[in-house]
Amino acid sequence: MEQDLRSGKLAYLLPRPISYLGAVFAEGLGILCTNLVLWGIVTFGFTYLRIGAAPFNLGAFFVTLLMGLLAGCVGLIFHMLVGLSAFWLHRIAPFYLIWEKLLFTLGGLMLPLAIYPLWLQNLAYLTPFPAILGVRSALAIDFNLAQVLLLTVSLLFWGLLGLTGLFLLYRQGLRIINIEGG
Amino acid sequence: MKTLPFFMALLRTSIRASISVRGAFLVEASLMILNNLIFVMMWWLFFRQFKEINGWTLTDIIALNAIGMGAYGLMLIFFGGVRTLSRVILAGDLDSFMTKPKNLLLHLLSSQSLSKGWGHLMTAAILMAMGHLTSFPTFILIILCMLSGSLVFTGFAIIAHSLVFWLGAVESVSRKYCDSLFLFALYPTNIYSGWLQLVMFTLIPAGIIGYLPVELLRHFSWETLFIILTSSSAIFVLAFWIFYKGLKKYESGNQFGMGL
Repeated sequence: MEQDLRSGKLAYLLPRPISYLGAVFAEGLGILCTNLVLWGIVTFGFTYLRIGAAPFNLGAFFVTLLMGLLAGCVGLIFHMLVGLSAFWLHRIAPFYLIWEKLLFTLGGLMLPLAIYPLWLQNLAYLTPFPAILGVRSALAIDFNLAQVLLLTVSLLFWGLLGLTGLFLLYRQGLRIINIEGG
Repeated sequence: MKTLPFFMALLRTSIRASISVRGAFLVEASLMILNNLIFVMMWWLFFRQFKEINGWTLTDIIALNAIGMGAYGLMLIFFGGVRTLSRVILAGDLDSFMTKPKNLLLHLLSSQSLSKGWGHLMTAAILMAMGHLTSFPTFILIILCMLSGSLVFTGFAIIAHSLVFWLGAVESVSRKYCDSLFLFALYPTNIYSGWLQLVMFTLIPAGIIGYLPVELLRHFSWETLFIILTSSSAIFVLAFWIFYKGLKKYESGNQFGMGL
């Protein structure tokens, strides 16, 4: 998105009879699905080799995969929000890095959230990061339906919030382009 | 002898260019500091639960991050052009550089200075203050290690980007390789064992950038200092040799352009 804006390519993409945001989302989803398959084979295969068994049954496995896809979509929406900041900022790479670091830290990828001080755990749960990363990954080890339901509601909430922000910012951004000529 | 004044003049111009858009420079540098501090915060969280990793404490990890980030920052400031080296080669854009009677690789490397490098360097300063690494001998050693680390980062980036001379469009692989070197340099190499540790001192020489300097700070020895300085210089010289070896395979882009 940053490249589209900086190179002026956006001006050629806008008149097309498809939504620009939709096209970016679809492209991102395609990459996400390919990555999920490739990385899934590597990571699940490696885990199976190391521990010699799958820590969940087949039903739980598919639900966890579905949750992973939903979480990926929510992550994608927030990625696009970061991308849209290019309407106002010179370079968005630092913002992307910060988003990534917060996702890894507050999402519980590098360290499980349970070892964080309580105030930081509470703070983390006020953000979309645990739902996108840590909580849905934990389903692979400790699967229960109540947690799945809670996670689905949480992901839908953050997804809707992200989408609303995305459309609002996009509209604001287009106004700048219209005023300043792109 | 004419190379040094040329290098200094080039550096002055690129640094001026990188900070010319003051707002963008400040935003980028500050965000980079924030980004780095979030990463260090993870280590603080880790050491709240575990006292040490193979004898290393939080102070050692702070020193490791200060040296790693400082070295990376110096590379981005002094040799920022290395990040786009493969793109320049692939696009056939070396022509305009080759016609000038100056050191080609140095010209390419220092033709760009990246403002986020200042963010990394400032993070290093903050970490040094946080970890109380400010006594005069420690300070001198850290600066030396940062300089040698930046040579390793630059050297391996040159080698990785020079691969396009032989392998063609592998720019993204080169970039990923350089990014992973930075990532590994910020982790203590002593968490690895066996062949993985060997990799950390050869294929991905993160150990020379981070691990050895911290060991030097923990237990000073002239031998370790000698190893750090000679290995980083050797990598830098090797990188120049590989680049010029590959240059023989370079094909011009036959493009018309204007060099400023």
